[in-house]
Amino acid sequence: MAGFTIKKQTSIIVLRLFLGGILAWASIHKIVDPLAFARVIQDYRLLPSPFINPCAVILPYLELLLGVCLISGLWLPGAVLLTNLLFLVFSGALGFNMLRGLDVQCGCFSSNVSENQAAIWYLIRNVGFVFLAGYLLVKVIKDEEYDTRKVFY
Amino acid sequence: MTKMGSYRHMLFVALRHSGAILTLAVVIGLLVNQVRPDGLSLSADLSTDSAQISESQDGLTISIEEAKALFLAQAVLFVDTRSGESYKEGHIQGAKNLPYGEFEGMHEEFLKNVDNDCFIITYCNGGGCRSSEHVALALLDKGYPNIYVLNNGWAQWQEHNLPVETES
Repeated sequence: MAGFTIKKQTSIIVLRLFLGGILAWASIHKIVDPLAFARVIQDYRLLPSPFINPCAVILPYLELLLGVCLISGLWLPGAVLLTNLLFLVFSGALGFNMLRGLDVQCGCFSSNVSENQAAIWYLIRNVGFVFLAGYLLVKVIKDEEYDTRKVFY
Repeated sequence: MTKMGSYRHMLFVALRHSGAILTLAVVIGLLVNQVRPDGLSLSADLSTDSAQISESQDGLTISIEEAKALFLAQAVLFVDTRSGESYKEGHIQGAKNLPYGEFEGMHEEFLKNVDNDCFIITYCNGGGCRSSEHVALALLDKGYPNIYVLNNGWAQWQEHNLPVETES
């Protein structure tokens, strides 16, 4: 039984560190060059122009905060929920643009618009993240040992 | 508490935490953007067809026709303020690269052979790009009064089929 608990906790910790690391890493280049990130968002052609710059300014810090929360355990249920939403939105945006035939650079780990990789690869990778984040959400919500009065998990 | 009730409670907690994280992200993002020198204009429209002139850029902009005339008369130095990679991929013929992010480290060497009365046009790419404006203001500050900004310059230059070159 103890072994099962450890295993259960280990999978949560590994997923937290993995997804948290990815989000924190992905946020850095966007924070360094917000203008390039704004252009990536513009290339998606999903947001009306007035929302592009505010999104380019706020989204990187949301990613960074989520990364920090996932790794440290701070506000974990909320961080996992938002991580799920974020990956769903990214995948939806990528998939939608693929369907309408727009060749966009995902901007996930680089803001260099000229850097071009197959969109299908981005989509597969993002869908993988969606599954991992979904699994983590289920694990955290079902964790009966978690004291919700605590700030840290 | 029943299992269902406990899940519901957990979701409620998750929503509350999400609100805190989102609020923090908005506050930090806006604050940092306000403080950093290359912060984005939150009211700027990124679409390339509209003239993007922010308040501080007023009076510096030059039209593509004027820029073309100065180029043909060989009376102007074009300064490409995009990244080194973008510059290498293609730039206005004869333009020199001075990315805003590297201005502090590069400007002394860059300006060594540029007379103070030289006409300079800075440009970047995209209607919302502001590095050309930042570099223009920095050059004004260094004692170069004849500075102009070609708004959305790289795209406009290509649209008008004007001479370009790549770094060989």
